[in-house]
Amino acid sequence: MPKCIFLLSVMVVMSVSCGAFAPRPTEYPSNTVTVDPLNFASILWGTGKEITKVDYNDIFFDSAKFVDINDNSYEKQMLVDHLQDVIRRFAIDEVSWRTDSLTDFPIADTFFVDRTYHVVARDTLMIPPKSYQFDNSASFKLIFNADKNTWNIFYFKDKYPGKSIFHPLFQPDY
Amino acid sequence: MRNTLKPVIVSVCAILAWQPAAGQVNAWPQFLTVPAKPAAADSNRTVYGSDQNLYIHTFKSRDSVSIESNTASYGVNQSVDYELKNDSWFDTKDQFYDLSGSVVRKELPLGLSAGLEWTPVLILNKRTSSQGLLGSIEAGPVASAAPLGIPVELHGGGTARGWNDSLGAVSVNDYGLLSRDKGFYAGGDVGSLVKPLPLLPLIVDVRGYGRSMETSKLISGTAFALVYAGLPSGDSCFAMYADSLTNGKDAFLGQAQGKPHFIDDPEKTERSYQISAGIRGRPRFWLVPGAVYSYNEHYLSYRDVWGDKRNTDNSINFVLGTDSVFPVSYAGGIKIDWERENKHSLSAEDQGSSVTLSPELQLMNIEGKLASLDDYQAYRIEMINTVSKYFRNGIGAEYTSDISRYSKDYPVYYVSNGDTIRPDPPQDNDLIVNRQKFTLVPIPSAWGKASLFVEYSNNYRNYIKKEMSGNNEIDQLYRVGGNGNFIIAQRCTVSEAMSSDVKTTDYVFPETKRGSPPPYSRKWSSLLLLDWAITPWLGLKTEWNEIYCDFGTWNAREYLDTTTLKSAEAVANYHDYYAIVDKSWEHEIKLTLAAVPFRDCRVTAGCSYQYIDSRQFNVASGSYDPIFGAAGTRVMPFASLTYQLGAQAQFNASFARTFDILNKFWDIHVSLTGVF
Repeated sequence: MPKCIFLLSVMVVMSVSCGAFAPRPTEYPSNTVTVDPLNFASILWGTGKEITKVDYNDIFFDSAKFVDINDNSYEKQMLVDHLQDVIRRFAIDEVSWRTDSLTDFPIADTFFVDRTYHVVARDTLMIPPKSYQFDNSASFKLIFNADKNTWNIFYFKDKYPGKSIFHPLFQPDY
Repeated sequence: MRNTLKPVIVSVCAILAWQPAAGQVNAWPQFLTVPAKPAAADSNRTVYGSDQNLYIHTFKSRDSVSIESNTASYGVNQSVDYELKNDSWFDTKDQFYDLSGSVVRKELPLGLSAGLEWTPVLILNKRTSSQGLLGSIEAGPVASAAPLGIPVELHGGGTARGWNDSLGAVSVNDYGLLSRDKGFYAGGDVGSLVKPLPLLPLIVDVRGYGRSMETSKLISGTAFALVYAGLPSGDSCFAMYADSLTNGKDAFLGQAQGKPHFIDDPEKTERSYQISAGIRGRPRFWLVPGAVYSYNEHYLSYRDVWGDKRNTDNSINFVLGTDSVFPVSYAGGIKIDWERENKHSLSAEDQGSSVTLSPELQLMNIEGKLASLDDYQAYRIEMINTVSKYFRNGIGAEYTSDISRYSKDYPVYYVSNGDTIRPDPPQDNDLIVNRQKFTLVPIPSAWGKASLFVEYSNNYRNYIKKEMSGNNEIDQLYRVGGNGNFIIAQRCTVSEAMSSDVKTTDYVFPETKRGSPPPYSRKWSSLLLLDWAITPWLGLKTEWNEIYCDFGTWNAREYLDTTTLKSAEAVANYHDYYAIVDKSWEHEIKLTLAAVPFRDCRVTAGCSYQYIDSRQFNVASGSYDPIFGAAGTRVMPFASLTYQLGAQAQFNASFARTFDILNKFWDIHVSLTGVF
């Protein structure tokens, strides 16, 4: 019994340092701005890996590509410019990236995932605003960017035909 | 290949060395452990291997033969390596040839060995519109000795290479178009990574390599030292130093804009080093304590381009564990890290100079300053405690608590024309992870074994500044499950693994997320196995796998956008609910027949059938509709053959054909390996 008491004492001593694990005081939010309205950070949700940067220039690797259903590929800058246009113009009402655990292939610092996405967006330039719904699946290749200490999207391909809000050449209907 | 890529390998080592040493916080670090001496390899052998792999649209092939012949007087090594990667989707084909070898005369005066080495390498990369070629060779004398028992090896000689990155896609006939370069190289290796110096508790290894060519010059090296000593008190002391350095520039055959491209790396200096010291106590009161301090630094500096960066990490780690006689097993540890990343700008004023920068450097200066806004300092603390007790009959339990906090601050800002430029948005944050797991083994008998577990995980992302704190959230994971394995009849076992998860997210400031309720999901899985040895040479395995998962949002009142409800009454009557956006149920049956038709030969064949029912909520119809491309049938027949050709060789072949929901593809793997 004394042995157990001693051992428990050691554990308690180590555990009382819990103040070190408490979060720091937080400022009250100034507004409701969401910096990642398309929620790319959530495509690694549940994998134990994390996209810590939420700016679209940081989420995508420098040589990242978007590949459409016809295998046309588009460079990162074109994709990021397009996404920034999208979030300026559209109000994103719903966005989800459904996890398909069967297609997750972690290999060292590379990660292949397939996600089914659902996006509902309103074109705020139209009067009244026009609502769009996008449902498709996408294949992602992600690599760990040690410089930025985050996972980056290296390759983003729409899997099935259909209009995609992520396509750099996407144009809303008029 | 190995010699040609030495600088690259050293660079990689440098990068790896920077990463804080991995390992459990509650265990003595591996890098402060005296390495075990490796078993002596046969010095006269031929090693061959052939590995062919086709998966969907990528074919990879590697064939190699290595001949090693060593006598008391001579040593001869020659290897032939060929690697191919063919991607039919992107229409790329990469080939690599390496014919490295050496011949050494031993037993020369003064215990010397001397001879020649050669490393011819050819790389051919084909893309859709063109192909690139890089051929290189290093060749020269080698010498080795072991003065005072310390291994010393020196080598050097001439080097040359030729390349062209814009050859036609069809043939590589016009070698006159090759660009050429030549120079010399030298290197050495003193000491050993596993063998202590004679009469000293000290392991030392120093390696260096330098190459000078007309287009590139570089030096690289690594150093490692580990000293250990026992104290009169019975405790042990360890100290370790590891360093790696690359300085200069290299060039390689890479790719740019989808075409092969010979890339000149910018001239740079990259260094990583780690200094660690620790004391490991003898058992006192049934406890074995330990303490380790480490300093890591990674430094990258370019001569003409911006991109300099320095990462430092100071850490201290305390570990405590019970000795083998204590009735309960305990392993605990706490580790604290102080990290810093600092990107260097070219700013003349920062360096205390009044030199006017050129327009190009001024531009880079601005870019450098902006990038420095990402500089951070971080504090990381992690504590792991594990307690377990297993009785002799196998009944027992285990509890693990793992809690950590990782706090980052971005302190850099500039004042420009009266405006303060800060990181935008400010990312200062804490990530607090708390995991608790309890495992119980109630049935450990000879006829079966079962275990049950409960797990709770809490991840708290806490942004400090008001611009980001609206995104603060807490993820919680609840998991219960169990595993069982039982012998239900002679030569027949059944096992089951089942688990159930619920993952919730709560926003810390729900008032900022009106109309955007947080995600919520559930998952249940079951895997039932029946393993039946029908005869001594024939077995049948049946697997039944069920996975259900759903994903949606937790529509709690605090996230309610009241403007979407028609009346105050509707607001008053609102009840929290889980809105499932999509859900899937996967059913899989897999049958595998395994036979051993004769000794050293094993054949398996089988088929898996999977039906996936993935549905998504359709707002218009109010029902869950099948998701195109994600719902349907997947069938995969497969077969494999393994044949052991005595002790010298093994042949493996596996074939699988997948008929997926929308497409079908092969997965073929054939390999032959051996040593004689």
